[in-house]
Amino acid sequence: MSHVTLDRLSLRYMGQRALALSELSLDIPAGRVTALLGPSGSGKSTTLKLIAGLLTPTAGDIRFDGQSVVTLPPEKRDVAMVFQNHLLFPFLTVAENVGFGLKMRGTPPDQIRTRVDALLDVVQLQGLGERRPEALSGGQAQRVALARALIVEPRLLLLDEPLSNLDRHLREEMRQLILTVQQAYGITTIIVTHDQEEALLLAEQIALLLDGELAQAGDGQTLFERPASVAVARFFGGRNFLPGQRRGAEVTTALGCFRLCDGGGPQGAVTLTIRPERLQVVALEAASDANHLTATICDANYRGSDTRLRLQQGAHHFEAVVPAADFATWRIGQAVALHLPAEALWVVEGEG
Amino acid sequence: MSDFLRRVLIGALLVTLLMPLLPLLLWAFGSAWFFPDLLPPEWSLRAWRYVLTPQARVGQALINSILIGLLTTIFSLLVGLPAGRALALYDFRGKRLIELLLLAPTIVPLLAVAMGIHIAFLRYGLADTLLGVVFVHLVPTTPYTVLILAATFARYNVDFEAQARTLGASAWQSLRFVMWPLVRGGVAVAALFAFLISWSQYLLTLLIGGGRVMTLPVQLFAFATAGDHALTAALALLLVIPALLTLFVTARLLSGERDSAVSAVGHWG
Repeated sequence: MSHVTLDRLSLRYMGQRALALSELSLDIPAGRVTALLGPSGSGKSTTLKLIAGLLTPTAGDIRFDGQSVVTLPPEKRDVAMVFQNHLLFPFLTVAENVGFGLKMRGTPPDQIRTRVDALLDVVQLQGLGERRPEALSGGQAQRVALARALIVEPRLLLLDEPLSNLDRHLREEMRQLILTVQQAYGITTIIVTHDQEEALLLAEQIALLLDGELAQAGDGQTLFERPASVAVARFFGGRNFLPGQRRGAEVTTALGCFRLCDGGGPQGAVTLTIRPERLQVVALEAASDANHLTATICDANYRGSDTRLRLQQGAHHFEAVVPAADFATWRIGQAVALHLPAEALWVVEGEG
Repeated sequence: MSDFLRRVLIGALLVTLLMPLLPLLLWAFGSAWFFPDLLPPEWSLRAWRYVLTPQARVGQALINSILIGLLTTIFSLLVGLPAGRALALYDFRGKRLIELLLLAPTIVPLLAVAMGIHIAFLRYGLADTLLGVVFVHLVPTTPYTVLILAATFARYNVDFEAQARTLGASAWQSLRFVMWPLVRGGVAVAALFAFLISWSQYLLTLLIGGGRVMTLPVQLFAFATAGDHALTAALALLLVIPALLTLFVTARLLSGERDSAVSAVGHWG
């Protein structure tokens, strides 16, 4: 169990001008799951490799429990990593794969056998020890990879997109297994993923990386509902952005004046945002005066569990998610009122 | 492919490979064989008896051939392993140029290269020595070992080593326990090629060895020039048999391998 500190960590790949990772500072609490979230090329896998010691930072420091590890080679860091495509050694049996880390440490064979059996139990693959990796299903292979990492009892478990190669129904199973094992061992775990749902379900802390920089870190709800920037909001599916001027608890925009719940946060030039699920679509005649604007429906998509409406007012576009049953209520071209409840409004600095 | 068709094809392959050896056998064991006889009128072991006598110097030639072959193989692999790995796995400035330079010995006439090398070897005292012959054999063998090993490494996922390192393997352990099992099939093929190319080398050996480093092919040419067909045939068989044996043994070895090496060979060919 280790507490990991990333201190202004930067990396420039050889022969490239742009930084793959720029001044990343992040605290990763001991015994918890932290997700490094971001689109491909955002620097999240780079960060994981830096922590594992597979890459050397151009600048900055990595500390485990306050001790700098940047000069240590990977095998001395006591960190186990599970790669995206499981990377089971094809020339070894399942049991030999799981016992690999112990063999490298010179553990006696009979002890290795006992530990391997115990770990195969943990990942519910008892009796498959003599199989070859090619005889395993994708889900089984991923579980063997997890067992192989856990057997060395690392102070840090690194998982690179552990679910992305799995079928949908296997994902749920693997996610549950990761959580169970993590809680049982209380091991500090870092998960790299591009899937926000995966991050929200697995991690207590999420660090969103965009273009090699930390965009925001916090728990899932914070990132989802109180994004630090338009970019963060967009990543989490935000579609509604309205630039304006804020004074106290009031934001004046081209489409009218909107009241907020309180006067805290950024002032001056801001962008008003609201999640599509929180935006209320009402008939024109039912609209009251406060926090409303009028818009025209340009598109309606029935999606089974809900209906997604695209709306327009001048140059401004909005998206609203309404109950599926309301699909029949609205038609394209219809003018409606949009209600932006004060408690659902969020303000970020600057004009996105 | 049906089993029958497969057998016919393999049989045809064996016949075309082994048929040329038939006249050699007849020459080596026949005696007083002249036109228009279809087969030698009498059989004799004269040629073999002579080959085994000390004055034929075949024993020393055999030992030299084996020694030179093994040393050439080892040096070729020492160059080929890192070079093949680098060419297959990494991008670096001048990579195309190095690939071209590696292929050059297979394009430029060997004799021209060897003449130049001979002058340098005279200066360094390598001419007329066994080590000098080994070094000059590296000219034709290295391109093959590098290319075979580059093909092997092209199918090798270097992430396996990163995985091993994060499980506690040192840099050396990750090469020994992860890279080696994955590439050893390719290494065996490269070694076989290096050995066989060295084994059948005549011109380079004669030029650099100056006739003092006697190998089987050099001895064979001496017999051939002397015009004794029976002796030439006997020695030619001696030269071919170890080559065929290594080929079959390696083929057996490879077809028994489960990992990617087999397919590396397949792709190479």
